[in-house]
Amino acid sequence: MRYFIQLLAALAVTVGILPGCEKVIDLDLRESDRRIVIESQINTEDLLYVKVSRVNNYDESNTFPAVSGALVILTDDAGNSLALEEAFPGYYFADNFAAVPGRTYTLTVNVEGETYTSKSTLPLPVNIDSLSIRKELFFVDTDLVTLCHFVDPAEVANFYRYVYSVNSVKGNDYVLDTDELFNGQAVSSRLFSFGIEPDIGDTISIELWGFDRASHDYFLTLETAIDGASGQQAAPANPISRFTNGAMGYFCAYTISRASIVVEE
Amino acid sequence: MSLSRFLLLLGMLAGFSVYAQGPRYTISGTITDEASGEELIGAVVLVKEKPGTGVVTNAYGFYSLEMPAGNYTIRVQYTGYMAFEKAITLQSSQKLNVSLKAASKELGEVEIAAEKPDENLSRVTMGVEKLTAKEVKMIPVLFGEADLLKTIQLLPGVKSAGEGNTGFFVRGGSADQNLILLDEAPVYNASHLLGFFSVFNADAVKEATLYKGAMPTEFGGRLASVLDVKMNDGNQKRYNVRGGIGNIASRLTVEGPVVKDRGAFMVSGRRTYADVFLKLARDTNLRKSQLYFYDLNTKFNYKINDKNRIFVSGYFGRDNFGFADQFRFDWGNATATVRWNHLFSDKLFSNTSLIFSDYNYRITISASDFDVNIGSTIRDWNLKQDYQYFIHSKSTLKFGWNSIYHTFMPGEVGGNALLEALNNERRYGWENAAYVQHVLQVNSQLSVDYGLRLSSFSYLGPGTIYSYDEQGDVASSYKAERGEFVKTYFNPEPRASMNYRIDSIQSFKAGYARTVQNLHLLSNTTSGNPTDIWIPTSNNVRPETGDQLSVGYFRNLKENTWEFSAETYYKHMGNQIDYRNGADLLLNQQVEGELVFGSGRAYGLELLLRKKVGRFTGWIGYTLARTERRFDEVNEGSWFPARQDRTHDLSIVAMYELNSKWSFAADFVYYTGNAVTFPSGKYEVDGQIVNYYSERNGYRMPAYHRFDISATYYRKRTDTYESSWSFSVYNAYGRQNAFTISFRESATNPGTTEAVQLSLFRWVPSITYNFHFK
Repeated sequence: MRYFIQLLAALAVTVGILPGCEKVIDLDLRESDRRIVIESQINTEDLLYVKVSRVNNYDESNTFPAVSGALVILTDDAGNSLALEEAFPGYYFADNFAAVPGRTYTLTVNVEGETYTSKSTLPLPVNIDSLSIRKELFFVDTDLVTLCHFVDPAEVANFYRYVYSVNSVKGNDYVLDTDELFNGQAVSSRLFSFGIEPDIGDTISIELWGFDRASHDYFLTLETAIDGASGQQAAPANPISRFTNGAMGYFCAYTISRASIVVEE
Repeated sequence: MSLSRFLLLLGMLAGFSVYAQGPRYTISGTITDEASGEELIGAVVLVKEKPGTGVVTNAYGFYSLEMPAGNYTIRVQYTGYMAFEKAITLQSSQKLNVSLKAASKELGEVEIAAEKPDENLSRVTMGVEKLTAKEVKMIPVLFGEADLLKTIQLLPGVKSAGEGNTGFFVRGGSADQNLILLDEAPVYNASHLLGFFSVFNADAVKEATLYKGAMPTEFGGRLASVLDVKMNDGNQKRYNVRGGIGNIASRLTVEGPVVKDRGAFMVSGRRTYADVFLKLARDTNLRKSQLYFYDLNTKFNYKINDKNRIFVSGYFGRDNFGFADQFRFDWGNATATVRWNHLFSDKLFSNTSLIFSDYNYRITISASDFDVNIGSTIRDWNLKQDYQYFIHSKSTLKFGWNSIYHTFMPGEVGGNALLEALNNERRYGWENAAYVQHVLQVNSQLSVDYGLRLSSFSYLGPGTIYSYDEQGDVASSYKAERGEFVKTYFNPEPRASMNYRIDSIQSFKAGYARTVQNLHLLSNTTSGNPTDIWIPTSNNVRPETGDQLSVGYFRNLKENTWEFSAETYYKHMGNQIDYRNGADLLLNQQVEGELVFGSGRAYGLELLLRKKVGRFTGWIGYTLARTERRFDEVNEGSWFPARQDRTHDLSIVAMYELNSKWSFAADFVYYTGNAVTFPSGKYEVDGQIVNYYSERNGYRMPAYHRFDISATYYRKRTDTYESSWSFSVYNAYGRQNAFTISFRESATNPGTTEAVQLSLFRWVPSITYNFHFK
């Protein structure tokens, strides 16, 4: 719906009903508390990283303080435990890790005596069967839409994210999906990105992520929070917290399936 | 107290003075405009021999006065009209219908000033503002299109929803807490073109009354205010054609007698034509775009005989946005009212209304092989019965009932088999109310107006009824049968006002009102969207309640040419609604799970100094106010300012008639910026900068101010033809008022972020040509 409203606004501006005038202003914003920010992903391709940083004041630079010396431990519901090591300031890794579908993982980060924890459950993997490309008239322009074909498992509620990239340049929007409308069916999802348009000869790559509801809700509210910067929302807010003790950020365990296709004439 | 006991008590109070005296007779009738035959609402009927005895005509121009037998001089007066006087001998009940002549310009000043109208002092209820179409047309507004809602925003206690926006907030309430009535039919979305125009075509409107305090018991259903808009009835004497051609929209109104002096009709239409210019655009895509709105008002009335009269009125308006055949977004209201006035006797007036109201929007998308249409509707059928019993000149009883059947269609999806699963179930509600109100002049100084409204709301089947846990997830659900009463709420709404007339130039008033609201608008954008949806009170959503206490001091200066008032109020609001973080309001069958409930409070002081008569008229209004909300889930459960919390709000309006050719008007507006949520910090996730918010509404938008000016030149003014040019400039000194403030990464200084202010309207000129064939 947001897109419709933006489209309307764009239409209105185009026809001169809303002669907008933009300027950069100075705002006197308060000092922010320096909350801990944790970003962590684990997936079925054996990815494992934890990044720990802090919140900056709004008027400070976009270089965020790395948090070193944290005690970072990953455990699962099968009784395994793994301590991560700081490879460079604020980044924590471990070797010999393999995420197992069906398990629930718990990430514990201890910084200066405070403990932050988060849980994430890895669902059973869903694989892309194939990709295809189709031309579609999209308002004025003909756009290339990529169809991602896969079969949704019927037994459980599934939550997905599609990562779309053209020649390894990723779209930065969160394209999220649930199986509410297609539980247990063969699906052909229509994918495109407003920012990056493929040409003949380009390679379009799709990643299909599968994760739990909490991860889905986090990314959804993260996207809303990022949109909230536009000043149009009545009450912009932080994304739903995924950590105890008020840390920002998330811990997400996901299955991943990849496919790519070359745009032909 | 049971309703019957309450009625009995009312009867006793009302009755004791009646039977204490000798034979009494009634004089009753209708007050109309001589030129058009239109009824005059609120005309004053006085008895010269009995100072302090008088009545005001009701919404249908009817009055009734009961007095002991005797010789009297009846005087009828109404602002802008020559007074009428007649000597009568009252020896039996009699009819007296009076047609008033409009005061001509030159005469007007003297005559009106001599009349000493002091209705503001004598009226019992407070927090009432009246506007006539004439005032609305004088005041300069954005795009030169005279607008009732934008004019109302210039009154104290009423705040604009934003730059150029017709949405308004009354005494700290939210936009959905205003009951907007057009000939008794509720208008669910009173705006066109994303809020920049209201649905009220000034040519079709007779007058509007805003109740922001202790509203009469005949009204209910919203917490904050009632805006009662009445359409023109149509000219019973002769045909009239009037219209206007402006740079944004044009209007045309035709009215005239159906049967002379018995019935009349009025048809009024308006359309914007930004899209006509689009057709001239070089860009082929722009040429295919549509962007316009139109509305149509019609009214018909017919006097069957002295005791019976019928009115039929309707409104239809639609906004259209579209692009070629591929995309279409349209929305609008439709209302219809059929009314029957009946006089049971010269003392008992009855009005029966059958009212239909519908608001809907539709979005249609047709891409290559992807067709879908999404829509949402709220529809009402409403039966209303009102009685006015004129017991005697100092006592009137009003009572009646009202029954509304609501159908809510929050999300209807069609055209695409896959998406049809997103269809939301329809919801049904049945709203009922009975009311009684007694207006009594106790003695020459004290008047009271008190009553009770008893309202109920039933959430009806069929449908899936959900209940939710603390997290907002579905805890259980069941299927309700058609006609099943899922949940019913009863609410007594006591209301009372008093007026103590200190002396001939000052009075003191106080009022209390309890109000209840059973329809709730879900919206999470700053400006309000056509896609905002109304939901009913249900097993999860409880009725919103409001309790308002207000007191005021009123004083007239310089022989009633200046009015001054100071009103102060405190309001508590229960069961207020907010949303969970990340709430999904669109096409969400379980939208109630996204809601959180809390309370609100508002208080303030409103000052108004107004000059109503003479060449120079206008007012200065100032409001000092606060409005706050509290939700367990927001800001750790502490009180925080609502978005429309504005500490200071000042409006100055001035109108000046230089001579018979030229008149001028200007207004100045200043208010504290809205409470707003800004980030205090930021952080990085997934390589993106994310704003960090430490609290809700912890910041302020910059203060808003603006000056508008307009001039009207009457080219020709005769008995049969009138034409004029209107010129106006909105935001004449070009202040860049903040519409939104957004945050983004700086392009000029990479690695940092910046705040960007968007301003909309500066120096917006407009020109309109108006004509009137009489």
